[in-house]
Amino acid sequence: MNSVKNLLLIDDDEIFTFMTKKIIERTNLAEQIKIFENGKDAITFLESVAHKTALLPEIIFLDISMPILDGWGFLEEYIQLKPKFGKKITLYIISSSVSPRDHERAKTYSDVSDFIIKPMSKEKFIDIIKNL
Amino acid sequence: MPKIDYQAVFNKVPGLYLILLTDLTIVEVSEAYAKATMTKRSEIIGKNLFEIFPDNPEDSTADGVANLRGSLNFVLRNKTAHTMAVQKYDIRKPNGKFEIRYWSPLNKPVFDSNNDIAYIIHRVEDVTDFIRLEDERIQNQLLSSELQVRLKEMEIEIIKRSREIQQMNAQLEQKVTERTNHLKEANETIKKNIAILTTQKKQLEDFCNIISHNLRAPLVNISMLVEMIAEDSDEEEKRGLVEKLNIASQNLNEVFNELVESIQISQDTEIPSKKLALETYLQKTISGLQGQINKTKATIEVHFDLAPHVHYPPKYLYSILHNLVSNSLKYHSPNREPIIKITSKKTANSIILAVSDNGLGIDLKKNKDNLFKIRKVFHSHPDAKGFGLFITKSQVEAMNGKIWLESTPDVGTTFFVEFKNQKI
Repeated sequence: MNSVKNLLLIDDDEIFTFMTKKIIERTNLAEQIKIFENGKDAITFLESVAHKTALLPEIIFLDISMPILDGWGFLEEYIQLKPKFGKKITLYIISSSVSPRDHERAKTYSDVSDFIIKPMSKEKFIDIIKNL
Repeated sequence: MPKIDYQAVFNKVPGLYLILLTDLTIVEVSEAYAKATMTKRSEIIGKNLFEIFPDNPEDSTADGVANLRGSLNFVLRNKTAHTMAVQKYDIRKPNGKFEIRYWSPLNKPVFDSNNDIAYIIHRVEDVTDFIRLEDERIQNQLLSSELQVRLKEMEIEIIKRSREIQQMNAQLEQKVTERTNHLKEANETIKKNIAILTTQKKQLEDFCNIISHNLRAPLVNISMLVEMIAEDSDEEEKRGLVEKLNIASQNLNEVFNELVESIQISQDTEIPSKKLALETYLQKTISGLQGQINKTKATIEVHFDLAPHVHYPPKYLYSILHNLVSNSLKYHSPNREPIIKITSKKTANSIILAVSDNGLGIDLKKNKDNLFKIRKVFHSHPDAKGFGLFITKSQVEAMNGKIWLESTPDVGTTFFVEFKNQKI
């Protein structure tokens, strides 16, 4: 069974991150879960560990609607930063949005592996990790 | 090349020509024209065309003046030449008696460098002799009086028909003008409707966005929490989850109320407007925010002298001022005491209110899509809730106005509100 060392959850919704963290912890498939409540804080973190492969996440779950720097803004900066990473990172958008516009827009980013509509069940998470 | 004496050439030109100004004053006449109409150049230059050539008072059916005027007006209006049908237009002899004449007239414009009409060339051919000759020839040749009568009838018929054609032309022209005006009006209506539809489409998109982002998010949380509470056996943990459930349902309630309020605003297009003094409403706002003003040591500068009043629903004006000023106070820079300037000015049909501050500012490049969305905030500020701007925008747009801003991070922000249709 695959598992990940570092996982990033970028979302300003405290209740959602609390619950999702709990769900992920119960699978025992992720060692470290880091939560950032906006895109900017997450970018700052990624910049600081860009060359420290051990600290870089294997997987990122990114919300769209966030203050200061939203999911789209994060993606723009992430693309600039990506060549510096010495590691393959898989990125999922995780959003409550059921709007086709958001789904279409997500497809325009080749770095987005999939669009997960909230909530993320335990089974869905296990599935994702299995297919990493 | 020797210079050509155009005056001499025109005088001798073998044809019947009259040059008119746009007010139909005669300014030039060819010798042939003067001769054919039994007039003298010196007596008609500077005179009005119809003063010199009136209708024959003895001919009750005379329509020469009316038809010629119609043709000249056509030229002036459409900036194009006009050929008249054969026209009976009797000429006043020097003794005051009128002589029967038939003419074939053409009126043609001459343009100046601005493409405006400078002159009208009025050219005629005297066809009286032709009609008379024809008459005589037939009289000599035709013995049958019946045929003579018929010919006479035919001649009258031709004149009648040509008159009818002229009238129909005039009617047709009027119809075309009417149709063109109708089309123009219809076009305007379509344009207006497209603008309305575009706005409504945008509102609908915003609404869908709010439903999917802002309403669905707390719902998802609630369902996750409920599921987990059902699965969990630990009482302590359950209590924590119920607390979170409480927060999530409160959150859902707030978003829902806000959404309902904005829908009510956009539906309530009949809300009455009153003439309001900006100063009065700002003072209300200031006293409402006095605590924050004192705490932040804010200076408030007000200039309403250019436009002291607006015509607006009182509730909206208060809410707009309150939200914009409290935004400026909330997002002040920690490095300087806030200075908030509130001004108003008039434009053609609107009044523009501006609220500018020296606060944190907003990065417009990164946030341009999100500026007025429900619960959007641009600062990691404990009070940031993003309530105000969404409602403010609804209130401004419900009254057909506009709201926009200019901002530089760490320099300050200016919000502008346009109050439309201000006839104060």
